[in-house]
Amino acid sequence: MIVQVRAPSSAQELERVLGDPLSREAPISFSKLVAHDEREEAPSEAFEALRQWGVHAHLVPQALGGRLTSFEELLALVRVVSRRDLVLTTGLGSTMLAAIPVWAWGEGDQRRQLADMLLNAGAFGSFAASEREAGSDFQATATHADAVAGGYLLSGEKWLIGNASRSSFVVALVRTQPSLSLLFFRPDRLAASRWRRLPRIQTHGLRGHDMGGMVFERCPLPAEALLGRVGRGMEMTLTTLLYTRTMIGGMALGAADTALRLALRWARDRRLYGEPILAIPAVRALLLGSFLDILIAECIAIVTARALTLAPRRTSLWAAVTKYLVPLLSERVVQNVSVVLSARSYLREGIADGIFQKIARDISITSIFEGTQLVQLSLIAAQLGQSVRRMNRDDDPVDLDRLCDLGTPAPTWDYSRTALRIGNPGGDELVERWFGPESRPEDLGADARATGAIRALRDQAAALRSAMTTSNAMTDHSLARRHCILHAAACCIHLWRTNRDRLAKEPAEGEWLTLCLERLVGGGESAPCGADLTGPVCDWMLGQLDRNELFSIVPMELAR
Amino acid sequence: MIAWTLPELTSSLREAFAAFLGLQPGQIDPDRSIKELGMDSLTAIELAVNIEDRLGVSLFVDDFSGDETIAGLAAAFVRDGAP
Repeated sequence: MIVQVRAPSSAQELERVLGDPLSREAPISFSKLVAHDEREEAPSEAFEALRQWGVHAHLVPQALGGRLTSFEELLALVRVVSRRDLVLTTGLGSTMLAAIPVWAWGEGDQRRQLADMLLNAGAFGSFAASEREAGSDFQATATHADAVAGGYLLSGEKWLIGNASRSSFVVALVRTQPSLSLLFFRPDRLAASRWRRLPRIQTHGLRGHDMGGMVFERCPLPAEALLGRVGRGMEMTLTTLLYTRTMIGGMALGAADTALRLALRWARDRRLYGEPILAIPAVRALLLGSFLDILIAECIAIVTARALTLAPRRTSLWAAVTKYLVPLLSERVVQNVSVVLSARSYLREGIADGIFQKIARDISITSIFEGTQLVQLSLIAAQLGQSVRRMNRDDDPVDLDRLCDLGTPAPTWDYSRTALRIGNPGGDELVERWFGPESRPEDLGADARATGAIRALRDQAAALRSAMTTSNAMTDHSLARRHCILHAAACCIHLWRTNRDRLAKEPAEGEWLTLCLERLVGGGESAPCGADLTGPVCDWMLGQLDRNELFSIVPMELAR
Repeated sequence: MIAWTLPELTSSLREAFAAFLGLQPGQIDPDRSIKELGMDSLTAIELAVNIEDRLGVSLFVDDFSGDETIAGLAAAFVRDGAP
């Protein structure tokens, strides 16, 4: 018997425990979140509700006593929390960012200490990489740890650091001889006269987030603070970011879900010119397009999250594609929603206690932190250039059907052997499978319109391959963008094809896939058309709203 | 640590670059810049990791310009124990 694919049970349980955020009595409510935002303070009772449920255990690998299994499961949890407040996932995400290198490269004692802090104290962590003068250029890191007898003397300033005033542990990128290294330490064990925390930094969104900095002045650290091998700090930092960039996809998706939910309710209730505004074709097209954007973004994020343990060697490319495209699509959802809510989008009161204006400010962080859009496009362009230049194929090809089989959860993360690569993905098999020279559009077994869209994308892929050899692919970001669109389309196709027997009736029918592919053929902007397809997909979208389900090809019931 | 001679290290680095770039060692000219060989800052880090793990030779430096050559890196390492 084929079992229908569902969201992980941990995510369903967390969703139930956190309650309906529209209710002012819920443990985490939009009303209280907006009040915290107004006062620029952390939503402390929401963090406490998460801590009590045991969210920190999901940041600790199972083998160390926690409940972190796969990043597919973590992505689902991130969406559940992020649909309420990105301040929460930013605080927890910064903690995860600092924890990953300790799991992956720490010694037994470092790992045990951290597991204890997370499991028993619900600690916050800081990943202290960025500096005022360094920006995205990690090689410009000036903070330095000078080797002395028994350890190091740390000097310099770390700035724009998450959880800066409340972190119980810090992982810092610092200059050592001969190159950058990571140091892991507990601020409460440092000499108080040799370091200080900087005042909170004021931000446009995430006004309840603890963003700040730290200054060290010849601050003594023991030799055991070194994480992994000396000089390997860049490698460890760049590898760690592949995990967190993928999770940022879940943050953007969570925020976009709430935005679309508010807009659909509004569009059905609000009557103008004698009928609900949902009946106005332009409004309907904006909302349906937003639903498609969420589905496209979801397919990209799910594939990369699964790839972190199923195809780790590809994630240097795919995490960058995810970090570029998922925030872009999700921010567009929020922009479309603000058009539909019109004047109401600008109010700090009213619909859902005024949460929308906070989402609109908060979500803009998703395309900035952990590498801006420009950084991601540079990474993608560089890696595409590498795969064109490489003469041989990767000798470890990806099993795409296993990668996309949602009926089998992604394997548990083996933290001592991440197997990630930094800048050499060895191709993009998903794009090659559906749009490469050997691909056959009719393989999909879909209707004529879908096959036509695949042919059009296949032509775009051929043009891209030719452009890659003739122009300077390393610096031409338009080529990187075109690759992202093709990758997104391939994720949608392969997930649908692999799981159509296991999906609920509406996503299994596949009208959404045709509309998503046509939208991507048009560069991601074209409005959905043709009532024979838009009708059923619109019904599915409104059905998910009525049944109180997350907007997703994998249904998850939301708290009531 | 292994005491490398210049020809041994040059040859080992050529093999490592060739394996990384999917070429034959004979196709790697030790006097061409690593940029010309197709390295960028990301792949340089990955290759340095690869070489340190395979050969025990640390090529980690923060000021790679891309103009370095395999012959030059090998000579500096044999002379100073670092590039």
